[in-house]
Amino acid sequence: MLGILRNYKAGSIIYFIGDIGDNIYVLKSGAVSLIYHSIDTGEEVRDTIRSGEFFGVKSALAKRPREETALVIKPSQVLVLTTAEFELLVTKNVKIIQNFLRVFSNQLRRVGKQVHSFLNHTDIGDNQAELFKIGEYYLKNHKYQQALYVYQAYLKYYKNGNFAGQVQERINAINDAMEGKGTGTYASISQEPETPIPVSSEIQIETPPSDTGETIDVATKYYDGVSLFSQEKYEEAFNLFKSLHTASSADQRAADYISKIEFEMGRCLISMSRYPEAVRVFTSMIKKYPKDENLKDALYNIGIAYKHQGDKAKAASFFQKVLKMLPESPTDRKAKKELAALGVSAS
Amino acid sequence: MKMDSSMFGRFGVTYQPDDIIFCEYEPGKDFYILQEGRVKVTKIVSDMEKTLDIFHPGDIFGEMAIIEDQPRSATAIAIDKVKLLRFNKENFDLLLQGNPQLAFNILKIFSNRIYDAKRRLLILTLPDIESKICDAFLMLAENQHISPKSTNPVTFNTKVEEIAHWCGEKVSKVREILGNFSDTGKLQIYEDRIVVKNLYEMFRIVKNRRKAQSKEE
Repeated sequence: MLGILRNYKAGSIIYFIGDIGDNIYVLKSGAVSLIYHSIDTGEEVRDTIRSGEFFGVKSALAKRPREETALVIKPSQVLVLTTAEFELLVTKNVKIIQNFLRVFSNQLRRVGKQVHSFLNHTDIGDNQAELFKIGEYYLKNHKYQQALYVYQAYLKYYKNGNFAGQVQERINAINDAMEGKGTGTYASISQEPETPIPVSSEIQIETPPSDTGETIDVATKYYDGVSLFSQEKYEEAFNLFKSLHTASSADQRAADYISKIEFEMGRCLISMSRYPEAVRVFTSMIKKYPKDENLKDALYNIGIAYKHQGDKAKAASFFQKVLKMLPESPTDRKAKKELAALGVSAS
Repeated sequence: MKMDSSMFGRFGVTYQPDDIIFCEYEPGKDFYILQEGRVKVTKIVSDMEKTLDIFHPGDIFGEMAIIEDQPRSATAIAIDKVKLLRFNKENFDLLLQGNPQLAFNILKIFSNRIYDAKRRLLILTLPDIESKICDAFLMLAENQHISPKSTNPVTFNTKVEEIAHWCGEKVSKVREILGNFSDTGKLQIYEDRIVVKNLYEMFRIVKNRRKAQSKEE
């Protein structure tokens, strides 16, 4: 049989609150009380353990301090198991685990409710708006694939939600950009003057009034540029981004797009084999926006530009910069590959 | 965790790099076991996407969905090409019966989650924002296995918004009080981190506040 049997006299303590221990107990006979203070009321609570019941399970499994003091009420016989023995026992009898899961999920639900009761004053129930905001974040950072997922999720759950109209417009715009529809034609922009400009993370419940056509629809033009790039029309894309950059620099509402536009200009220059210019664009972007989402990619691209110019040492140093920077991203793998090709170890 | 291939046939899903598996605030009923590739968990905090964790094969995530009807608290994104097993409340028992080891691992996860939730509740039960903020730092320190008795400066990779979240208070209020703390030299606030000068002082503040609280009752 697993574990060891121990006999306790009335009044003895099996463990104290705050102890750290790896043992799990089963009461064979007698009576044990678990004593603790309720978190929300501070009152002392006593739970009585009956024969056949486990105790000390959660703290042992989580390797955290005991939450209660186990006091022996009547002379008792207790089976003492190590966590490893407990694991061996219960994995042979999944029913026990299922019962514990039921008990633990009830506890979790209860604590979760208590937490929420304290948070009542904050705006719960605005999940719709928050979900929409996340879509906006990805769109703004030109992560279209992610934005598309979020917007589609929004429509799935809130078909008639407050933002459904805006979400649908965003989806259409992203799909157009991804499929390369309406590329390079500025005419298509003026046909849709009511498309809001997603330049801020603030939620615009109502469509902002358009400034008699003078608004630069940065977002739409930006998609056009990205779309041109994906069609390998690098020169056209570059010119579009460049003019957009000039126009946006003066426009406060377009401020969030500038670093992204610079990034795309750099990418175009690399694709056109204009490496020294690409290095200049990326370097200036990094200096101006040291926290930019595309920072790692910018560093990687500088490495690529140096590689094509035959400067292996500089290329390697930039690929290594990519790998040193957190968080991890798919760019890491690309940088590792480049380093390997240069014959430099990744560390 | 080893699963036979018939499991993948029934419950398997595949994602490409950068695909979102689920998104923060999205309602969700499924949870996942990672079979191949890596998944990152992110949250958008003050307009920056922050990576909270990276999961590797064998890890389980999204399991809170089978307990509570809350929307997702973070976003899960595939880093590599990813293979997952996807489960929900309905087929959960079926899964457990066939995989005792997995059931045991989930039990361990739940044990930890209860401790985490109770620790969070402990912050919320404090009577004033100052001590809540102090206790939030203490909780973050515990998570990093830093002693609350530390008198050396401790760096937390956190933001005002995150502290406000743990305290259940308005960001503007928490920002104001952190500003006072900063003025009196208790801590320094940077864009991406907060450095606490003397954690032990915060520990004493919280301890005294709790003592006073239990006397009142």
